Amino acid sequence: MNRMLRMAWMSVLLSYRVKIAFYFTFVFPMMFFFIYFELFAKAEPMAVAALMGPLISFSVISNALFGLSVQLVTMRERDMLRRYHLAPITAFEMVGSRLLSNYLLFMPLVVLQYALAVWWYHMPVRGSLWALWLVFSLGYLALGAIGLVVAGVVNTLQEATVWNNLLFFALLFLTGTTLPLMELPRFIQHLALFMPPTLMILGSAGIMLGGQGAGQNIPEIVGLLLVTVACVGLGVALFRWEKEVKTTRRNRLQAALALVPLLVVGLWLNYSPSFQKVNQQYLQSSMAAFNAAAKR
Amino acid sequence: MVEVRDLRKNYGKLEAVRGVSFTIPERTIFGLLGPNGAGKTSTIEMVEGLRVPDSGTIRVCGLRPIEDAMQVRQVLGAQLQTTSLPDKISVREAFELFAGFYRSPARVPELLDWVGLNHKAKTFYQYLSGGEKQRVALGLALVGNPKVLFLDEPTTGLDAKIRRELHDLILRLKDQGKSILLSTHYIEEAERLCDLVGIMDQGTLHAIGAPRQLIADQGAGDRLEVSLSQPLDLAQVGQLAGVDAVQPAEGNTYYLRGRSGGKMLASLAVFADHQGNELIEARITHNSLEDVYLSLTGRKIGS
Repeated sequence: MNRMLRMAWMSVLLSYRVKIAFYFTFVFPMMFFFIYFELFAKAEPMAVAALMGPLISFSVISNALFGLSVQLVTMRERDMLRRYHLAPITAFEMVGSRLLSNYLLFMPLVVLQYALAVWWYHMPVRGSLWALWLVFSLGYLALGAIGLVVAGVVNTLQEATVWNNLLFFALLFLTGTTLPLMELPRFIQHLALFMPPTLMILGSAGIMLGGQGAGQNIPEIVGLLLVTVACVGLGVALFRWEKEVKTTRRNRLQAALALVPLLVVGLWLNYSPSFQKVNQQYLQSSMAAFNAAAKR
Repeated sequence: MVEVRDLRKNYGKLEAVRGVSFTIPERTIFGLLGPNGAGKTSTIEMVEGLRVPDSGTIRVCGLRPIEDAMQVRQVLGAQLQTTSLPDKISVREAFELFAGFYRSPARVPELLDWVGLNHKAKTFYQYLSGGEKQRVALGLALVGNPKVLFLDEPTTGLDAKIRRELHDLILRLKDQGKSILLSTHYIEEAERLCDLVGIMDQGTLHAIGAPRQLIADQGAGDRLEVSLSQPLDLAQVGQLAGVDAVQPAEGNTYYLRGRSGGKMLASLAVFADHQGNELIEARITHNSLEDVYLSLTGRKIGS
């Protein structure tokens, strides 16, 4: 554990020394902050609150999923992992340190964007802040864990980019991250419940629009936790230190197991009448907020 | 400290390591001498636990590198052929980070001093020269206070002065009681540093012994390298006065071995003249590991 924390902390320090990392972690997401809230929410406080979840989801998909898998594959391709392989470090410590450092780098952005939304756009502060923190944290860790699985099954950076792009655009357009869920066809709304960003968006909407706490968001929290645990486990099992060691057919089949928690969570939420009821309620609240903003 | 028995590794159809066996006692520098592609790195990486052997047994301080990986890594230090670290990590930070992974690490200020990088402690890795990066690699190999060290071509690509400095460091490590497995394709490095040398070529370990013993086994004497305008009749040259053995090299170049280089040259010059063959170039050297290598593998180490 100590070794994992050391590596994570060093990685955080090193990231602050690389200008491009700072750009992708802070500057780029802040551009989207103003695009989302000025163009889509028209600076309307309730619409800002409704869009906070999708905005964070956008950053999480690019930072956790894309960022983490590309980092690990790059380290493997540059033979950096070999140096660690010679030290008494386990695959879990290596993988965990990357996930933790990226999380530690990302969460200040969430705090900054939330605080700025309250101060600049007068976004109402509703619900439990720690529940909101938990939902965003688990959302980040779940997407990062899927990134670990991607890093485990690809051989090269090019392959990682292809897989990441496929997942990136699917998650962007099918989860309410860019297009409001209520605007999407009914079957896509059902499909969206199989994907972690949707759970993060619905959970944060319940908290920020409905003033809920963690107790009312158990399905989202459990769903995200399940995906995180399963995919971190798979990410560790599929982890390779050496670029010469190529992925096998067995590895790809193992990676397909990552779909199991997504299927379990998706089926559970799709067949849960109580979740469906609450879900619809908050989707409608979001739409009402958007409509109010649109009329301005 | 290290025991390797009948180690084998194939990459597809290529037999990279073919039944290699050796033992490294305590306080010994064991050199694997051979050209690129001889199987040295594959052998070292299997002993380090970075690669899984197809067959054979390895023990490092009585531990198995794959099965007891975490324990083995507490007692071994390794310098890879190329070490890659983040560009923006300073030398001190790299040492401190890795020191934190071990149960009884070396003290970082002493280590910096030892590898001669005190003045570069705050310098980012990306700004270090090739020699300084090799020193960082050596420092990282030593940071866990290892009992056994693996150095994979530690001086390749370095200039003569830095190479000599690194040689001194390696000899001091032996004096501290460490066992060292060193791979190299430099004859003089093996002769200067190693207590035992394994001659390796095409995945096979042809001979093991102390450098002086290996050279003595070839017979005390000289080597005459000659280039002529026409090919020589090897059988006839072998009969010349003072010539014990003759070996062809590329083109019309030959290696002659015997007790006296001068005698061999004199008799060959007369013989070539009688044959109407012109002696273009001749060089006399004392027997060295190069000759041992040539004799065992039929090739020069650089060829």
